[in-house]
Amino acid sequence: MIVPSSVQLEAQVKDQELIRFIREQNEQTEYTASHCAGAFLLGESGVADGSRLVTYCGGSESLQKAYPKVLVQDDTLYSVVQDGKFISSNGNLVSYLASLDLLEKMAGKFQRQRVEEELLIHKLIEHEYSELHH
Amino acid sequence: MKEKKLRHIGVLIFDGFLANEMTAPFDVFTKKDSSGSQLFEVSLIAKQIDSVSSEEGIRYCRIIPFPMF
Repeated sequence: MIVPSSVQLEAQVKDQELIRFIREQNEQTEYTASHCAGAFLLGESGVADGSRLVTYCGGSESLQKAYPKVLVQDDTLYSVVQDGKFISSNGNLVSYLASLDLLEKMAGKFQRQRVEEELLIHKLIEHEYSELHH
Repeated sequence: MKEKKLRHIGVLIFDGFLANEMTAPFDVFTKKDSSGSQLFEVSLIAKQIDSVSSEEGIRYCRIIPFPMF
C-alpha cells in the first residue's frame, strides 16, 4: 500500500473511513509506504507507532508533535527511510527514488537498473542547462 | 507463463493528492522484467467510486472503491 500526501491533509486526517482503511490494509500488506505528508496518515492510523518514518522537508517537527509514538527521522538528513515493512519518503520527485528502493527490495537490483534506464533517471541527475546557438 | 498471481501495489488517492507521488509507483512497478513478464499489478484505490482530483487538477476515474478492494 502506498499513501501519498495531500494538500487537504487536515480533511484526510479527520476522515475516519480513510484512516480505518489504512489500518485494516496495513494488517495485510507486505510493505506500507508513505510519501511526503502521507506519513501523517500513517501516524493518525497508529500503524507506524514505534517505527521510523520520514516526511516532507520541514515537516518533521509537526509530525513528531502530532504523533509522539512515531520515531520521526530528520528530513534534512534522510530522503527515504526503510524500517521493517515501512518505507517513507520526502515525497514529490523523491517518490521515484522511494519506489525504486521498494522495487529493488521486491524484485532485485537488476530490475531496478532496468527501470531506471527506461525512466532515464540518470539524465535527471546529470542534466546541465545548455542552449544551442546558431 | 499464465495466471501467475501478481503482487498487488495499491496506491491510495484522495482529493488533493500529489500527482507525481501517484505516478512514481505506476512508472516504477508496471515495467516488465527481462523476460517480458509483468511483475506487479498496480491500482488506484479510493474511498469513493466517483472521480478524485489531484492537487494539480488531474482527475482519475478508474479506481477501486474500498469495499471492492
